Amino acid sequence: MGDRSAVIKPLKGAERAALDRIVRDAGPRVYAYVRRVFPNLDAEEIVSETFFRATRNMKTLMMTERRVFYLLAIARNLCRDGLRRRRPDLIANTELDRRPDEDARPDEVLDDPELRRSLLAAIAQLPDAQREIVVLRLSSELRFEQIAELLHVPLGTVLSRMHAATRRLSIRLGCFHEP
Amino acid sequence: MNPEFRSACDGYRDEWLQLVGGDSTTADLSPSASEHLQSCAVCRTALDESRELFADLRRALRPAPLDPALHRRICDRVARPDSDSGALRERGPWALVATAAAAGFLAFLFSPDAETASSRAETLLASHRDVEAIVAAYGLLQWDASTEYTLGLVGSRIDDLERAAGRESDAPTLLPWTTDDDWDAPAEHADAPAGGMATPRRRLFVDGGLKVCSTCCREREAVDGIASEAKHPAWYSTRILASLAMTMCNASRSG
Repeated sequence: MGDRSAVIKPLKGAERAALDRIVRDAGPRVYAYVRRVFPNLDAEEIVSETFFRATRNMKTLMMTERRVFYLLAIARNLCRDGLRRRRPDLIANTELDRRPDEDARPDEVLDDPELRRSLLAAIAQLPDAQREIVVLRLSSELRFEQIAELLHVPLGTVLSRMHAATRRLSIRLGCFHEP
Repeated sequence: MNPEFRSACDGYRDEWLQLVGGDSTTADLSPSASEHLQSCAVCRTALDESRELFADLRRALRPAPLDPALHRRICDRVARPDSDSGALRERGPWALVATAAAAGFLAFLFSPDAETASSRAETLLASHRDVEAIVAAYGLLQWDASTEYTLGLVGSRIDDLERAAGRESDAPTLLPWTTDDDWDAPAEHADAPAGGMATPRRRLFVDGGLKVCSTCCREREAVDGIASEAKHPAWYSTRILASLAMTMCNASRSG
């Protein structure tokens, strides 16, 4: 097997700087998405692989205004691929790989840690399809139309799932009103 | 659910949701929704409480900055294209073999000088679906699909087409779809039928390829665009061969 590194052009100085900026800006949202929606996968490996694939088209990555959407689409495909094929390099190997919510970094924490724990527990117990939409809207900050595009479902389906998720969360957290 | 929440309010729930989510403002509400909101105290209360809930959820879910070690790992990963995990494996020698086989077959198939090829093309053109599937596979190859899916899809289709054209396919000797050639999922070897081709595995590849195809918007658009050109064989063959040449060029650069 020959050296395949020539297939991917090495990043130039400006591109490297741009990548650094993109990783800093978009990386947290991609990482949070993978971690919350696919807790059984190795989020760090997925995110690394996502950026690796995205940089195959570095010019697009630098120019596009839909950068987070693009990265999330790649990450989502990788996650689904990893789950379907049980790729050992993408599955979290040990319990330690699954960073528990209690270990969240300080700036992730609400003023009321108990409220935060309750919220995260309630989110974790949502059905997968609903949890994904909650995370994409409230963590990844995609608009509902963008979520519909990402998931390849009609906007009405996204809103319906979000509505169901809101209702579940409201009931679980003791709120009884809903939009 | 609050029992006071009237069913009449349900008609506006999508608008409320977009309002609370921040996708729209009160100025974007439909006239009837605006009017309803002014007159319905239950909806106003529900909106306020939902805003609070969403704000709490946002704060709870707010992504933390990446750990510096992870940041470094990502940058290292990008600078290390010869990793044996992930995408680069996609353009290994099998990609070259597969594209060469497919290019040769397609060139033969659409060669205007070859009488047999001409008759074969007539047979094959009766089923555009098969041709489109090959095009679709190459659409995937150029985007973000794993090689296994792509090769499985291409290999299977070439196999089917050649069988339809009345001769045994050479593709199984060229494409990596036997268990011996399957480098990625050893656990599934046991599922392969004894002493023969790994048909279930190949099926898995094909299904996987189609799923990837159906779940990625951009590639689906690209595939749709190319597939429509398949109705014009000359243009289609030129297009696909140019595409294959580019892929081969990339693969040979790696060799």
